[in-house]
Amino acid sequence: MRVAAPAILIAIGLIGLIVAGVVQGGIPELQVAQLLAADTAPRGTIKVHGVLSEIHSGERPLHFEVADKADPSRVIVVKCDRSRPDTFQKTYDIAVQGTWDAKEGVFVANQIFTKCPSKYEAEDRLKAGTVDGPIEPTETSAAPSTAAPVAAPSDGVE
Amino acid sequence: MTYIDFARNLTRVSLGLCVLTIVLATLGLLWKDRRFVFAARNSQIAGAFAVVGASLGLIAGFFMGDYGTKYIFSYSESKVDPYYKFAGLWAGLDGSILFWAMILGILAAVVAWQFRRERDHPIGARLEPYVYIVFALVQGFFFMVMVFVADPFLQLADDLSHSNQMLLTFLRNNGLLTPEGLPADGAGLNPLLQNYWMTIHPPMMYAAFVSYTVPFAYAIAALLAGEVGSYWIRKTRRWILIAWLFNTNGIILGSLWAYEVLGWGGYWAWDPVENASFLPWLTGTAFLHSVMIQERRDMLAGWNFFLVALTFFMSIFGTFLTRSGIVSSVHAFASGSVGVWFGWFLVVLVVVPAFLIAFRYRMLRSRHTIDTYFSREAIFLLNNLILVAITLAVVFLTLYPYLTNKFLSRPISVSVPVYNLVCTPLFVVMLLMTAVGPGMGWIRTAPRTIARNLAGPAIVSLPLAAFTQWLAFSVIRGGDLDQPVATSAHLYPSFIVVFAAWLIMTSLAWEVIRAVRSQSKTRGAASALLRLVTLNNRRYGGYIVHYGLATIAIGIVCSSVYRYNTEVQLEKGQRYEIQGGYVLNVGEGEIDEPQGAYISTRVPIEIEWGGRPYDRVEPEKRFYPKTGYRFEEQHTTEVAIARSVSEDFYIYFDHVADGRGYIFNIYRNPLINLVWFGWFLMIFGGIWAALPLGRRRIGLAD
Repeated sequence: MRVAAPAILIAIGLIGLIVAGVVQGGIPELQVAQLLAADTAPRGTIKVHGVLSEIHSGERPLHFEVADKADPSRVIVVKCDRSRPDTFQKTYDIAVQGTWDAKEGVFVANQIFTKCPSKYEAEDRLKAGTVDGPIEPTETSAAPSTAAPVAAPSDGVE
Repeated sequence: MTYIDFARNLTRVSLGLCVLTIVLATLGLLWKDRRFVFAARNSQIAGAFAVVGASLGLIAGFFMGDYGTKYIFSYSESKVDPYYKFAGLWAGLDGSILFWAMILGILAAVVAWQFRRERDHPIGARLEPYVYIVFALVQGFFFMVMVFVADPFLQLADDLSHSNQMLLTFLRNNGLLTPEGLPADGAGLNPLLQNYWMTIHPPMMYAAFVSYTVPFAYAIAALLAGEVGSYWIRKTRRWILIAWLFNTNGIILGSLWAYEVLGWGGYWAWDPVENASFLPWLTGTAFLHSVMIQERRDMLAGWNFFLVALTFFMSIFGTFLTRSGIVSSVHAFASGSVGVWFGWFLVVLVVVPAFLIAFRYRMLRSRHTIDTYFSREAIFLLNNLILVAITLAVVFLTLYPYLTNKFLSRPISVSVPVYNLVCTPLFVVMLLMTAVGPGMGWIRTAPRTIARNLAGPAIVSLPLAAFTQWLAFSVIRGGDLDQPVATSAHLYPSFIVVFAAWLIMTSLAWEVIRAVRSQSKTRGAASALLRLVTLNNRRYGGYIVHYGLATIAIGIVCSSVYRYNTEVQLEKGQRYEIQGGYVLNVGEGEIDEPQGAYISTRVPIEIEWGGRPYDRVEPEKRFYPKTGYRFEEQHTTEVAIARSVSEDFYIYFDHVADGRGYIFNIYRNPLINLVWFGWFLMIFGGIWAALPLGRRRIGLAD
């Protein structure tokens, strides 16, 4: 028995399946700045990576902004009628998948990707928690003996 | 010196002992002096004590609240349950590297201990120093990563990075430092990780990845020593089975975790890290089968070395993927420097085995050939090729965004349907060959015999497959046919998978019946069966694993093709009828109550079926407010699942922004529990196969 014959057959089948798959289901990935700089608005489904910079509504339908990682001044507005992911925190990395409505300047997402929480260390979490009130690196300490006041349950709208 | 300093120094001692092991083993080889090899053995065992000591030091830090240590500060707090303090060891990057090194150290010591019994075996004695060298090199790599770039004992005060200085300033300005300048509490383990799966899934995965080091070390030792016969296979086949069991457990437990926590009704999304856990499983499965060919036919020695090297490569590949940032994943770390280390380690893992296999090419050439496709070895080999093809496909698709970015300057990702399109046909072929293989004999089997062995099982499998499809279909549709969930495009391929799965089970049952019949002439059927499965525990354990595989295949197909999903907006007290005769009664009021660190919001739902109460569930949202050291607000979602044998009723809820009630996402997953039942069968079968029963134990010839 020649092993080469079935191996070649499997290889051909595999290549055929992969080509068919990626031709049918490939989704272009862009950074926010790339999307905004594109001469013609990309058609169809795309995936955009950035940083969650603002949350207008944390309840459905979600309404938020995603900034470019390298240039935070480049921002897109995203609307998404999906559930709020558990690690949906300002300053955290985020990717949104959906379509870009260039005319309205709105990205209509049907999927949101956030990271597993084990990937964030204390500094990242501090940044997320204090993004609305930047830390002033001064030596004048208010020094309350206990922690910062406990926040009331949020309705998610910031 | 504090105990944390002491533990930190133990990691350096461990690194030193790795170097010492390499030096001693090399001297033993050069001077052909066994005393140096024995010293290397002791050095390896001492290294295990050192790294276990270092890990205990970090765990002690979690329990004693040593929040001056940055890693402990980042992943723990005083209020967290004790088992999560223990699990803190693997909750983040730096600790997980130490955890990896600790398991590796323990395994290295066990292997060294086993060599004490091999002192009189000429091949064992030849391989021993090489095995120590390989182990010490792998361990040394992890210790270097720990010492130079991912130190879990790093003190907050010693981290000079800008972000850490900002953190310290914040703590100081808000009165969160003690007079000694240390935080009085930790920032807390993220609530999402405070889940019982956290305590068991990661250790299983790490144990799997680490256990693959044993066969790899033996394989490289065999190539270096020129002892490429089946000795190393015999020494490592139980190890690879143990690694494979951990791997299987890790994958399924991770899937269960995702299913119960993430709220999208599924358990597998082809994320790069999920793929990374699956890749060594595929190649490890291939290896488990191909070693049988080498043992029985003295063939495929080179292929087995390749598979072991590939499996070990894949066990490191996942770690590289998440640490390098080359692909985006929910499990990707922000830090890139560790990824560079792992990248170079992977280069070594390609170059060294490739060179050694090429160097020993003449030795590895087989004297035997596979004469016909109608033999067990041919089917095993073809199945091996399919498994490697699936591996290559998954690697290619996982790296596709990186490759397209590199070569086309525009990254393109692929989603779940692409993986399914590419992998499903290959899985179908694999299942069919799994059904056919065990019924074949070695060397050659007459086609007529194969047809005779398969005809009966195939005839029985057809109606069973049809019944299974009907069952899944009817569970979902119930009496209401207005919303078809599966189209004909899904029905035919899914029928083939279910048929193949049933063929695996019926052909194995037929084989067992024939074996029992031939034995039961002299004893009762039950006694004959017991004798068979005990004497040939490796083979029959494997059959139980195949039953598990078939059960999982049916569970996956039925729960994905016939899955029912609907999203509905309801108000408090509203009644809603859904497909299948179920009625949801939403409670009049939601339950809001503080529960320790979080505020729980639960929506009570009474489920009726056929006019009678069916179940009561309470999907939940948890809100963790900011506190002194918990810097950010956090939300988590607790899915409610009403389980039954035939289906899971899975509910997830969201508040609506305008305050008019809730949106419920409802899934009905038919036969999904077969996936978890199949996992149980696989684990049971694997353990049975690994037990030291069998012919040798009762004094019969193997």
